[in-house]
Amino acid sequence: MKKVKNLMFAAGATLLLSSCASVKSPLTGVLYSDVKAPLTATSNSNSSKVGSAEATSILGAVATGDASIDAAAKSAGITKIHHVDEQSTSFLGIFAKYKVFVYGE
Amino acid sequence: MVSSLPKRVCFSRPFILISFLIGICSTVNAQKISKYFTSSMQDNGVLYFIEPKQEFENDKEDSSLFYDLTYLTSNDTVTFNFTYVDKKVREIDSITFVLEDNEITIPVNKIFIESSKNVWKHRYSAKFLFEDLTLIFQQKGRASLLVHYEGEEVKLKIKQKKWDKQSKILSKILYMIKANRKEN
Repeated sequence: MKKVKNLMFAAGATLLLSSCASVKSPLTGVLYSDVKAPLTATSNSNSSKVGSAEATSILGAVATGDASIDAAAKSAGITKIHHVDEQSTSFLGIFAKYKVFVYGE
Repeated sequence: MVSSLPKRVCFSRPFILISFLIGICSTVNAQKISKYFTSSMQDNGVLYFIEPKQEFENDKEDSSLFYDLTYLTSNDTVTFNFTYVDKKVREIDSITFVLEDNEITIPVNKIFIESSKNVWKHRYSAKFLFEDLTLIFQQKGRASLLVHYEGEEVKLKIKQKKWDKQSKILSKILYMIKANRKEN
């Protein structure tokens, strides 16, 4: 009987975790991930300003935020973009964050 | 006969396992300063972008302020970009860092003001001298921020515990930047 209970718990947990908070990332970390990666680069030279923007997800049920390049550039008053990086953070599928960093002038 | 007790304990107490993992991750993160900044090599120095998890608040006015710092090592000044959230639109002209034995006031420039649900988000920029900012984060006493607008001001406070913790991290980052900076 206990074995059946354990199996049911494992199946339930798998089902729950399969629809948990996930985030776009070049690498996967089921338990914990904090990965920075390149998104794009332009031919503009040099940067003196940096702006960021982020969006978050909780349990994969609620996701809010504006992680657009436009929002990140606007936050620092950037009009010429040099390059853009992204950062993906997630923890046990409970919490996930996607962040964009825009470098430019 | 092999005991199945450890397995059972593990299955029956999933929250202990989750708490343990949260504990490990937070302990690991508490030690590293790298998650608070990014750096990028430029022709004229290194460009640092620092994002403290500090939020100054005024519960009475229902307003708050959070900020980030950008620093190019060839410059003397650090760009202090901040978002001030308020129920009303304020034309901010300057801000003051109030420390226990010192006050630093600087003028600000508007980036934009936009509406978000029932509040107004004011995005402004200011320039602090690198040395002044180092001094600010080395202060161990109470810290608060004054937002000056149209002859009036709003006082924003931060929890002492949070200020102490974050200032320590920021001081360490500024110390690292100074150590890497080429002195002319």
